[in-house]
Amino acid sequence: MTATGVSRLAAPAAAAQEAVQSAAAALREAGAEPVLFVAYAASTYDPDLLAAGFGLAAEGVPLIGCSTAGEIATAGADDGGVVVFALGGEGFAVAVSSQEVIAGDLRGAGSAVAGCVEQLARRESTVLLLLSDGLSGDQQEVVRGAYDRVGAEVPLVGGCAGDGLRMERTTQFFGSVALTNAIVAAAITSDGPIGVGVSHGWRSTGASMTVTKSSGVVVETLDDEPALNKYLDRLDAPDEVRVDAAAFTDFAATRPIGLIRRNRNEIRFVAKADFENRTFTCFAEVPQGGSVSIMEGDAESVLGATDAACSGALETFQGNSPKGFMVFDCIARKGVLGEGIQAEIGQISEGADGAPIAGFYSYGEFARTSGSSGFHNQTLVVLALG
Amino acid sequence: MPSASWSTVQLAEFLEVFEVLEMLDAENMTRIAVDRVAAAFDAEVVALVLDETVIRCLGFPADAVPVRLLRSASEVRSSILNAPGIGEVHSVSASVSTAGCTMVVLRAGSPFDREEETLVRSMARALGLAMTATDRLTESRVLAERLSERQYLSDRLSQIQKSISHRAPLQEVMDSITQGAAELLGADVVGLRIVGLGDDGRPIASLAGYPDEGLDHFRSIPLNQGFSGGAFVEGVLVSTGDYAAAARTLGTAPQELIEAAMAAPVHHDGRIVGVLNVASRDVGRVFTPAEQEILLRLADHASLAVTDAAAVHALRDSLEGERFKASHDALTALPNRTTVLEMIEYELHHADPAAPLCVLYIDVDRFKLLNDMYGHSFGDRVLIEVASRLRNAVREEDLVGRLAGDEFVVVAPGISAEAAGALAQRVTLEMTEPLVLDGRGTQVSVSVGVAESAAGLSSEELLGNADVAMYRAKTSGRDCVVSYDVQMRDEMFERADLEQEISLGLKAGEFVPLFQPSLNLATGEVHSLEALVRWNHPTRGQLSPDAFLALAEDTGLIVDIDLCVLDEACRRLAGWTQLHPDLTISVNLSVRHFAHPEIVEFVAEILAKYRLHGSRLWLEITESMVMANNEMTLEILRSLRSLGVRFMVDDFGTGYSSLVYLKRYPIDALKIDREFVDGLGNDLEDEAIVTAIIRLADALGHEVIAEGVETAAQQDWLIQSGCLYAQGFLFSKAISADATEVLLSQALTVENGLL
Repeated sequence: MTATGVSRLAAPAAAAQEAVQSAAAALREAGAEPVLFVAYAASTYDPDLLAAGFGLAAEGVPLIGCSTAGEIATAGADDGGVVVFALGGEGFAVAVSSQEVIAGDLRGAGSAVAGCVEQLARRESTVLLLLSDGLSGDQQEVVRGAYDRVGAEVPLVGGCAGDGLRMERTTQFFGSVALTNAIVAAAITSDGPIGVGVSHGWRSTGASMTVTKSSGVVVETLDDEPALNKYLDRLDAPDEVRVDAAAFTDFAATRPIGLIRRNRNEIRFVAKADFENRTFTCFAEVPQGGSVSIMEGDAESVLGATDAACSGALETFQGNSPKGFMVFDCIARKGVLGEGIQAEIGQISEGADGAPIAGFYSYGEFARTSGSSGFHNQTLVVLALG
Repeated sequence: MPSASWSTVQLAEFLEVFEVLEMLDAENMTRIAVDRVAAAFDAEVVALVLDETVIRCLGFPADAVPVRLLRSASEVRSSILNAPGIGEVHSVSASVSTAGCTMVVLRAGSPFDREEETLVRSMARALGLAMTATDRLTESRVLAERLSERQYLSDRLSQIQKSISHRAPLQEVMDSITQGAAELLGADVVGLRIVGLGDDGRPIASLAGYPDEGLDHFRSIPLNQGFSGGAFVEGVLVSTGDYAAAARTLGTAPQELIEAAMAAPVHHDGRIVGVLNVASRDVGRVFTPAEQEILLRLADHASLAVTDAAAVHALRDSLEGERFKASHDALTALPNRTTVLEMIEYELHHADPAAPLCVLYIDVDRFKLLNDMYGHSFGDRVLIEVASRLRNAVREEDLVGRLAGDEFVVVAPGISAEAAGALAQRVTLEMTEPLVLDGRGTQVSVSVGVAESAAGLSSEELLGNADVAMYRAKTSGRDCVVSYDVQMRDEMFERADLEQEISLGLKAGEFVPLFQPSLNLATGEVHSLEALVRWNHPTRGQLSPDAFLALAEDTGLIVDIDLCVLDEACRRLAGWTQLHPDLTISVNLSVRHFAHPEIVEFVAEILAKYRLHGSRLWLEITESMVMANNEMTLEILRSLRSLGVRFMVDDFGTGYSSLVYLKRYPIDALKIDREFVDGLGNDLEDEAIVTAIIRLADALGHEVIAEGVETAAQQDWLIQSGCLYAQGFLFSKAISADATEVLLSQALTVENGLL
């Protein structure tokens, strides 16, 4: 059983309590005791007060969460409130953990936080939900760390916290504690099916370019030219974008690059420009020697991906309705959809077949169901719980 | 299916890891390699198995690594297994090093294809080489020496890698590989041959340590022969420390003084396409496993270069296709405007001042009419035929291009203006041959403008000059050649100014009608008024149509001028209804209106706006208009007729004067042209023509009006010959609306005086 609670109160502690309590009440009304709360809150709230509110309202039930670039609930997309997803009943069991990233060791942190899976007596299906700080470095390393720990058997899902596109500081919530530069996780096991759907709807445009020099997430040269110049020129970027950091972030939000992979492109969100060194930074590694394309998408292709993600999540449900949907939707998709964003939530609602929905607009998404890679950008990830 | 470029990218990315992270220890090196291999293949599991143990594994929790399963997977090249927690997986294994380490890759879902298997092997080998170097390093034997050796190896490989990624010519890359092998392995002779990639079908070959003269011979040796043939046939590295014995076994003639040799295969797209072989003359020399790894890695670089070159080849082919599309006209396959301009620009810069460049601008005469009459596909075929005839007419060094629509160009370098004129004549002559398409014969002619290059002229300007000359050829009756002179351009600028002025004048309401009455010769009463357009030009005063009509017709502005005159004439007529309830008005309409059915709506709207019955409006049309047009014209005339509007043929007798159209079209009146009226009373021929027109009109029940009546003698002649209506200076010139009102209020008759 799942339920959602929403608050738009301005006072952080009150908003946190209202959202948690209304989710818990809805769950109890349906006859289920909560076993996990997952909270998504606007970054405009004071994180410590918010966490205090969460801790009080959760009454000892595990709670993880993060700040967002916009919240998603059954009623639609919002920005500036709190959304809480409550999971409960006999059908589910949960273990949670948190880990701060120490000395930039994201892989180590990913591996440590994934340890909660080992505390669970696994039932029919298990998933590891990860919420991390996308501003802390290459998030593919988080996936690698978690994958090292749990292996191919447990799918990984989740997203990177947001801060309303300010790109300064994000928060991860663990009970009554607000963390930053951290990963929080919940291992969820269920008697029913659990599915993960992933889709992005971007397509490559123009000729591919060779990454002639990069170090980790920083792309230095493409085809032996300064990477920033190449990127801006390829896109015929307006003058403002070439000098203004904020304008660049806005512009790049809907113009990701794609790494050429087997049968697909791995999307990389272009996060910020270094105008002095003529480089740009992505949210995940762009390996030197590889090839990248500039990707394009429009409202239609992005909405098309919504259906694909929903049906992907329900693949193992054999026609049965899910008990709840959790969505991790890249903030850049919001940029492309604009007003069409409510249509996207409408499509997700349809896919959920009336089940509660909660999620947030993220700075990167986790979804590993096959292979070993599982960090995505500009992508929609849907977790269906049954 | 993954594409060839996919595997190139993956291998390049993988090789880069070791170049970038060369100082890594073995622990980190294997970890990163395993991550990268898993990412490249979307594989769930990648493991390194050494003897009985799994030294590195991704995809299983550390306490649940299925050692037995991975070991058995490492023993076969590929298989299908059941992996705990994952289910059915496809497995591929490849040797990492000669020391017995194997890489195992497991993937759920799709099986590995041949290209992927090859890539797994290449990656495993690259890892092996990096590990060997690292192991040696950690052993710390002659540390400094080794470090520089390793650095040297890394630098050399990186150089080759760079020349591949910078897309150096394949031969250059191959040369750097053989040079690299000679230096890294201390080999005396190194050879590399690749088949199936050279433009001339010959193998690409590179030799180091051997004179260049030997290349042709080297190239001619079949790849599957000799000691190195083993690598080509078997697809594995072959090595010997006793070359003479190996050669004897193979039954081939041993090369003198060679002691040790080894060879490694070069792959492309899952096939073996070449061999990299090295030989040493040092007595007792044996290539060590580490050296074998280096050769394999160099061969991998050759494979990478070949794959990349093939991809570039394919890309270039497709780009050339694209480039052709972008630079040529799709219909005729002739170079398009951009290409023509580039060509002219090029020629302008390279032209010999003594033999300048000439440009012929060619326009197909009456092409629009052909298109309208027979349809666009017919028109297209005409253009294709014209293109072909142009190609026949020009010299070999001339460029024929299509600019747009029915406009073609010939760029003729190194030719005098005189010779260009002759070339242009040849072009027009080539067109005279009748053209038969779909069993339909037609005649095509072209108007040609010729312009010659001059100092300081740009390609656009030169083409523009030819265009101006072509335009002159058009206006001088078509099917002819005109050479450009400077005056034409001035005229063109004047025309452009005038066009602009007309547009502005239309907006400012400067086009107004004057009215010239026609009289009933029997009663002397005003019969009808002809609205004649005048332009109240802000600086040049009132202009008659001679000053602007031709241009207005050319540019289509005549349509707006006509409508403006029609509107104002009807407005005035409505105002005069009280004075003269039966008064009619006639307005001239350009042929252009009859290409668009909207004219019917415009006329209907204007009549409704001024509450006029259609019968009070005459529209004057010309003979040529009725002749040139088609069903649509007839349809439009009929629709207008249904509004009550009547039609008068202007200047009757000057055109085709076909009796057929008089019958076919809804015509109510004929106007006898002033040219014939002039001769009345003194030219028997004119008199005969006018008599015939009057009789013809009479027979058809049409009214007949004589234009340009200037003398009483002409008037008398007309009355006597039965022409009822006349118009001319004898009665009144064209006068303003206000003057017309005065005239009407005075109930002007022939008797009570003229204006």
